[in-house]
Order: sequence, then structure tokens, then C-alpha cells
Amino acid sequence: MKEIPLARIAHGRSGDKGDTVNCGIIARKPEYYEVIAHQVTAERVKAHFADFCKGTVTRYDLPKIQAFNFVLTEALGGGGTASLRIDPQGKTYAAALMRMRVQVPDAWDC
Amino acid sequence: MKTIRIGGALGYWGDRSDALTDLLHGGPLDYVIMDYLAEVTMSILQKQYAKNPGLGYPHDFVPLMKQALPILHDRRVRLITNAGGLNPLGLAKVLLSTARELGWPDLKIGVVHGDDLMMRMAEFAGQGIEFRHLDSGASQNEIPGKITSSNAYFGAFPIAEALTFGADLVLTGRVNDAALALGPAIYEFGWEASEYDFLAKGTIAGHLLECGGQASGGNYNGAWQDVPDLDRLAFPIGEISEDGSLIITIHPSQGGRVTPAILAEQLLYEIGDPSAYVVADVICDVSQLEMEDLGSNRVRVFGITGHPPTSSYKVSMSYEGGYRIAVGLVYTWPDCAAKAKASSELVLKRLAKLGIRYRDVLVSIFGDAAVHGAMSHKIDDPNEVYLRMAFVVDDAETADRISREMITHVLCGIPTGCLFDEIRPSPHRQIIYWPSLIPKSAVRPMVEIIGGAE
Repeated sequence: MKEIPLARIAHGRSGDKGDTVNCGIIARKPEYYEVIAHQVTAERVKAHFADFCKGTVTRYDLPKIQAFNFVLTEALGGGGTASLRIDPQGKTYAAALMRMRVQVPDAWDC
Repeated sequence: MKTIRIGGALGYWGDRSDALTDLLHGGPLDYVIMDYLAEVTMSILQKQYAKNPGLGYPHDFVPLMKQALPILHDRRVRLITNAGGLNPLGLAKVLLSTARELGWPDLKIGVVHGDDLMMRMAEFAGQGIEFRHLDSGASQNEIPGKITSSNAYFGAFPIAEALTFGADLVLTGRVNDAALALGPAIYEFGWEASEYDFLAKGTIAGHLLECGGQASGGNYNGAWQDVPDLDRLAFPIGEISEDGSLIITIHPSQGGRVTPAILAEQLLYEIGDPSAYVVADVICDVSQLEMEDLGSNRVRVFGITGHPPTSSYKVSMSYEGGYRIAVGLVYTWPDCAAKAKASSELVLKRLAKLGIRYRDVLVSIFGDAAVHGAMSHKIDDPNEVYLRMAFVVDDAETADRISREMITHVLCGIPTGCLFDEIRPSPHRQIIYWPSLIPKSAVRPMVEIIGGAE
């Protein structure tokens, strides 16, 4: 096994609803889906965003398009124009999630 | 089988204004939709409306229509937009006179309104409607500032009704963004309020189109290097058929791409539970959605189902908070991150000495993990950083005193601080979002037709 950033096997986009942010994460190849399903759990995502997400993290699975939706509540410092944060609409949260380290087989060319 | 082609020409107020004419000129279309209203847009419009009762809608929509109305007329494309904002009737009247000047005297405009709840808040309070916060459950009485806007999100049936009356242009206030596309599908195909699968398919078509270029390669985080010609990005087109089948595509010979991966990013954009995407007309389930790449920038989207809607409309309210100001200085090598940190501490000491009080402060050092904090990787001794200090204060005067203090640090502070661009930034009032619900029985969408042949 080798350790790589999630960015190598997935891509995604994030956005806001008030103080909630969601990260839509898509496997770059169908065979990557199970690795993400096993390793990128809601608990790990909550720990990854520990300084940013004061609420809960829920993961929803969309197996037929090899995608996941992570919903993070109380995650934008109030959100919208209330927030003092640099990214108050969570546009870059999916990119931040892409930094998470995952273990993949050595043979994978990714 | 009947199929309609709907173009998504705008993702938000401020998006590319040439996308509309590119869509209209690029190939056949039946409808164009334009989504102007983000969560807090209504409160911005409210502020402008209070100062000028002739406004209350995005002011740049009228000059855009001067360009677009002749093309819409010649190509018989109908435009559906929530650009009406807080004053759809006022905008409609302005557009009728614009159309007359352009030689379209019988333009018929359908206006959907009744979503603005501001004038009725006391009445609703009397009925025991509490406008509890959708997430926290807190009551409206706990809102710590002046309410500046309150709008219900209507569904697609009033839009369909306006089209039934022959409207060439439909102007709405607040509706579900996706209703802009579902409306024409309901009208064209005669879909009923109980045909939940159809309504869900039309809603997801609208969801894929409502953010404009995000469905055709803009802001794409996958193989972004492979998206051609973003300078002339084609905005997306939905081909919806009467059996609910859906293909997303773009005009040929324009920039951008449509692939399942690109659409997957947009599908998941700003949604919660994929098995319960809630709009006024239906609850959509996209958890089993599938896509098939047909090649040539055509993707078939299927596997969408629908369930009966809730008995409430979503309401977006907003209220005033304090004033925000962000000030900053650039620091350069050597030790720039340490200098920026020391400078931020010095600024706060100075504010204390001057008796300047603030409600909240956030210190960020661009170039040293400002955006993603502890998730970032370490960089030793960067070349330069930007110290940003963002404050919430009680009033604009205090914000001004903070920005005056900041510029003194060029000569009186930590070395190598330099100002750039806006030296004295302006403070902005915080507008805070308060999502809620209202029983559908308490409020009713209204459809008015104005203009048309004498």
C-alpha cells in the first residue's frame, strides 16, 4: 500500500446553505469508490475539519455515480456576510478535503 | 415525443452578462432561465428599494434586456427569471417601455409575486407563525437585529400558469431556483401536481442549469486542464422530454465541456441529503441517479424519482448585524510570518489603548495557511505574506477608526509593512441569514399578466 492525498483519486466541489457547507466528492475512477467509502468516513472528515466545523458531519453515498456528499453543519463561522472568514461560502472546502491522506494499493497508477 | 431545450444563462447576480446572448445566438432554444437570487441578495435589494422605490430588482437587468429582447423576439425564445426580486411588477413596467422603444409593443410579461412577506410579518405573528430557524429551532423573537427581508420560495406552477396565459417573459420574485426550469416543463407537457417523478426530473434539470457555467466546465475541480476555452464558456442546455428524460448539453463551437464528472459536481452542489432534495412542489430523490455519456458534450441523466412535497414553503429571512471591516498589510522576507503575527498583536494593543471596542476579530496571514488553517502543509519562511484583520464592530465610525489605526503601522509598527490597493477599505453592514418555513396555507403565489396586445 502507498499513502496519497485524496485529490489523486477524487475531485469535488463545495458550497453553502447558511452556516452549513457540503462537499460533493466524486471518485476519479469507479474502482476508487470503495477505497473512499472505507477510508473517508464522516468521523475522519469531522476530525479533518476540527477547527472549522463546530457541528456534525453526515455522509451520503451515491454509488451509481461513485460519489459522496458530506454535509458539515456550523462550519462557516456564521456563513454569508455574517462570517469573518476568508471563505465564508465554503467554496474551497472540497479542496481542503482533498488533502486527506488515503491508503491505496501500490499498483494503482494515480 | 415532444422535447424542449432550456438554456441556463446566469448563476447569480454578477455572473457573466454575455452568456445570455451567446446562448441565444449559439443554436436553437425554447426557453432561457436566469437565476439572480442568492441567499442574501434579497436584503441587498431591500436596501436599494428603501432608498429608491423604483428599484428592488437587479439594476443591470434592464440594459441586458435592451440587448436581449430583440433576439428573444426574433428567435421566439421565452425568458424566465427571478430578476423581479422585491419588485417584479415595477421591473415589468420598466421592461414594457423598453420593449416599446425596441419595437416590441405587445410584449406580454407574466409576473409571479406574493413571496415578499415583509408587510405581513405582524399578521403572521398574530396567527402564531413563529418562523423558527430551520437549523437551530430558535424562534423569530430571538433574532438579535432588525429584519431586512423575508421571502417565501414558491414552486413552479405559478410560472407554468403565466406561460399558459401566453407570457413571453416571466418575472418572479423568490421561487425555488430550479422552478425556473420546471415551470416551462409543466406548461409544455401538462405535468400534474401529483406526478412526483416528473416534477423531480424537471427540478433536477433546473438544479443542473441554475448555476450556469458550473454545469459546463466552469469551476470544475476534476481534470480542469482539459476544459477548453473558458473565455467563451458555453452555458448549459437541458433537453427535457415529456416522458421526463433529460440530456444536458452545450451549443457546438463554444467553450466548455459537458461530462458526467462535470455534472456530478454540479448535481451535488449546495444540496443536503440526496434522497430528499426538498422544493415546494416535490421531494426529489437523486440517490440512485445515473448518467450516460453520449459523446459530443451530451450526457443523459436518469434514475430520478419524486415524492409528495411538504406542507410548507421555505422562507429566507435576513437581519442586520454589526459592521464588518477587513484591513491589512503586506510583510516581506525575512521572517514575514512572524512579523505579521507580531503586527496583529500590536494592532490589538493599540486598539485597546485608543479605547476602540470590537465584537469579534479574525486574524489571518495569507501565504501562511490563512484559508485552510491546520489542514495546510507547512511552508518555511515564505517570500511575503498578507496580514488580514477582520473585525465586527458596532458602527461605521468605529470601523473607520480601525482602518485609520492600521495605516499608522507602516511607520510606527513592525518593519517591512506595506499597503497596497485599497488603503482605506469601506465597512459593510452584516446581513445575517435566517432560513425558516411557513405553512403553504398562509401565503399564496399571485400571477399577473401585463402588456400584450391592446
